[in-house]
Amino acid sequence: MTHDIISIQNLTSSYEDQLVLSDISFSVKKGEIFVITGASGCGKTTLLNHMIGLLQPDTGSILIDDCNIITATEQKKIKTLKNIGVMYQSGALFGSMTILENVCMPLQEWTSLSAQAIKTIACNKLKMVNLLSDAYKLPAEVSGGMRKRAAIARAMALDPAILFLDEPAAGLDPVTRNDLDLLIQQLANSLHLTFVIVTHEISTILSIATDMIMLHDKQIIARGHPRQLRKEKGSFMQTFFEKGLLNSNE
Amino acid sequence: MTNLDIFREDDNNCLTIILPPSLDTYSIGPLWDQVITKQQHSKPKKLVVDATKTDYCDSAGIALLTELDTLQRLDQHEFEVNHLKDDIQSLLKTLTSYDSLPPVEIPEPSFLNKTGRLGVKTLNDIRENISFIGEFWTIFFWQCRGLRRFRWQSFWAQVEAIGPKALPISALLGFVMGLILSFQALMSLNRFGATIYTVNLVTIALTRELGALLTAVILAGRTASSFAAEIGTMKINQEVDALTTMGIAPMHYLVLPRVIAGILITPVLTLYLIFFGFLGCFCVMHTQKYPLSIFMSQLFSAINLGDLWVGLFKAFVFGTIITFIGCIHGLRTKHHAAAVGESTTGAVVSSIVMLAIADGILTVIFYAI
Repeated sequence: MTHDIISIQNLTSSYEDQLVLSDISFSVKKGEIFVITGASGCGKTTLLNHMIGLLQPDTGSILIDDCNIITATEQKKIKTLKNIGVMYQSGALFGSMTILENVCMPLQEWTSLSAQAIKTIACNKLKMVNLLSDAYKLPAEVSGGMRKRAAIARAMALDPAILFLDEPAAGLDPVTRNDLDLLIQQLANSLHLTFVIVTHEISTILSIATDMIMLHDKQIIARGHPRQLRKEKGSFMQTFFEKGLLNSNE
Repeated sequence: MTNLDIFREDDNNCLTIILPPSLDTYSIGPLWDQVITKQQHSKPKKLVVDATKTDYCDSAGIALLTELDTLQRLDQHEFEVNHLKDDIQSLLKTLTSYDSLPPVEIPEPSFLNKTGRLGVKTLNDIRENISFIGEFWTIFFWQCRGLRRFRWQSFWAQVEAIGPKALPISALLGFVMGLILSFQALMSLNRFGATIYTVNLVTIALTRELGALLTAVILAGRTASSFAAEIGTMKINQEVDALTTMGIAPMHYLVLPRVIAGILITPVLTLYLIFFGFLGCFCVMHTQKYPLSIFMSQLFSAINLGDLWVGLFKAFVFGTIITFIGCIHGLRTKHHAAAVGESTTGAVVSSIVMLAIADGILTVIFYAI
């Protein structure tokens, strides 16, 4: 049986006096493509930021690979965080470095590999995302979709077990979005990576998600496989899917 | 692991590498160096990798295997991997299946190329500066003819930022400079019994030269940098593009109020700094038992309206230069993380360099006149 690689229990979070997330509990199994969705401003990115240790919740626990990153010592937390990769919404590539240097950076920081070995590994990662031929270009010199793929390559640099992607499809055209979905699916299947994706792209959810939660009004209102949730007649989820698909078809 | 544990060689120039139980990104470093060095050194006709013991392998381990394969292929020698566990085998298959064009390395430009690029960049900068100044005066002319609505709110905000907010530092710098100049002059003039002429020396230095220059240096540090950072951030956030697409010229909206405020405030700030310089001078003269009345009469006799006009004209020119440079650097900001920092530094450095050059030219001109 596949074990839970991420487990969140009773997470509550507020910003200043405003409650953002209330009593959130769910778990993610190893090898899943897990989607967190919901309308804009419902707290998806806040939840993601809690999961990657950028924010401290008011209450609750976040277990990543059996390590509670809220209470863990700094050393243990860093060890756990090295096992995750994050792709931010904007890509967050370092603009003054080439794409290859961006991918090399985590390897230079955390491993004792020689420069040649780092370059070989980084080139392999770029090959996976089909960006090897653009390795020496600066992020500003490539398209938005290429920047996202480069960010995925950087997030995979240290061979993490979990990849967190924040709005990977945002701002991309349908063809590039589809290519990115295929890439995620391919990486999940071949490398047995666990993906946690924050998105409200219905096409992405329906095509790649193996499990999902829907956030609404600070809480989880639905949980399950997207195709099953879509079938629940008269539910909020069904409306969400149908309207979303209608908009994307227009 | 020692070399004996890892390598096995036979008489047929066949090298066997015995891999450890785990091949992961964090621990593979020393093994990578050992294995590659050995392969390069012994150039085996056949290289066999024995992965019997290996239970875990990530993409770094796969990268090592592919690297060995590539090196053997380059030498036109054999390569073989034995006893690889099924899951590692499938990972190897997956990772080597990605097909891609080789990276296109951008060669380091030659000295001649670099010089040429620098020359072109300098010429472009000069052309851009000239067109910027031309565009500014065109818009200024339209403004004067009342063809465009002046942004008074922005103008007063800039006046406040450049003037009142710079008063404390201008007062401090003026006072300290007056004090220092007076002490230095006093020590020399004391030998000739002409200490009263300290006032004359300080007056001429401050009104003709130092008042304007010190004010300009303060403005270069405060105003030019803030203009460059403010406009630069707007450029990165595409606010400048938004203005352009709305049909509003950034020159009219952002630059004009700033430059006019700078041009008008710099001479006022110069007078203020000179006043505090005199105050510093009086403090020193007071220690030499000169009463206020004598100090004032000496001061009025030393002040030459011509010198004061020269100083104020310089302040006007310096104010123009500083605000222009701040705005130009802001509008030229590029789109990366360090860009605003580069613009700010560039604005301050260019302002100070241009101040020195302009001051030199003006001093020569006024001397000739």
